[in-house]
Amino acid sequence: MSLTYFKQHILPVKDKLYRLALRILSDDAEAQDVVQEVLVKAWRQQDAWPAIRNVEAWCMKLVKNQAIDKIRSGKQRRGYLEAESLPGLADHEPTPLAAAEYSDTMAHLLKLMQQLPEKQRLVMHLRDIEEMSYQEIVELLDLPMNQVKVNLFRARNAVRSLYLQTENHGL
Amino acid sequence: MDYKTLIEKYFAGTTTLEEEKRLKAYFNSQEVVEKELEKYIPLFRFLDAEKSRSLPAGFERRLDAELSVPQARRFRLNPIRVAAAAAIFALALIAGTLVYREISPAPEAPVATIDWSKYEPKTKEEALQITRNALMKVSEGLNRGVRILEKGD
Repeated sequence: MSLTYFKQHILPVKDKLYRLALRILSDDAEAQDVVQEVLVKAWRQQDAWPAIRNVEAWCMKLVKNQAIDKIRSGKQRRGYLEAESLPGLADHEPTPLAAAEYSDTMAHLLKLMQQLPEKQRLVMHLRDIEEMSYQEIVELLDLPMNQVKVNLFRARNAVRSLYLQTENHGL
Repeated sequence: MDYKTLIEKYFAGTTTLEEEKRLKAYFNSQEVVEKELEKYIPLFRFLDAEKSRSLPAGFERRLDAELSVPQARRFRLNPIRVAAAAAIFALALIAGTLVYREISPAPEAPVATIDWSKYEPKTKEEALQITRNALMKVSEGLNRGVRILEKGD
């Protein structure tokens, strides 16, 4: 029963958890460790499952807290995300040269996003990549609604402005 | 609503989730994007590609291995708890030793036995003689004291 519940309700969100951990930590191995720790913790807390209203939100919160704790404890490695690891990234492009240029552009955008202040980066990630509602973001990040909206506005405009600036003046 | 207005709303932070999905679908489709909006194609393709990031193959196998480990084997000693247990044990040991000493009878020290009976007078005469001797000693002492006082005058 519990294994079935775990496989049907908790395990399917593992990639979403991984992307959140990756956005916070910027390190692939660290992000995988955090997701594994959280899933093991969730498995061990089977008694708590019936009382949890939204198991996906619960797991997301565990990942957020664990990843931020890791940063604050100074134990995280300083890695960097690789845009090249994205599946089907350059599928749109007709030639190898265009595909390489496209990969560079994606890597640049990734770098710009990772350089945003933490709140802006997380709000933009949750809204523009995970497509979460404002209310869900408020509950996950423990931020007031107006702070979520302000951070989203600033993040989108910072990425656009920095991206267009480098596009116009060359990378 | 046209896409130019939508993109303005997007950067103003006033689009709904549905409108944002429309924008993503537009910039990720093969249809021709309006010339002045072409610069936003990479951004929306980036957002779409980021959503496809997933854990590497083999993660689930590692997770299964971790979940199958019995919880007891994962027990780790907490240094603070170990120190507290050691302190409690030391205190209990000291207290136990003190209580044991308190309740257990002390071993008796060897006592010399004196046969007082040989000093007891056997007859009335002997007792009288001993008393006389004692009084004589007291009398001698008093007389010596008187003499010393007289010399002092």
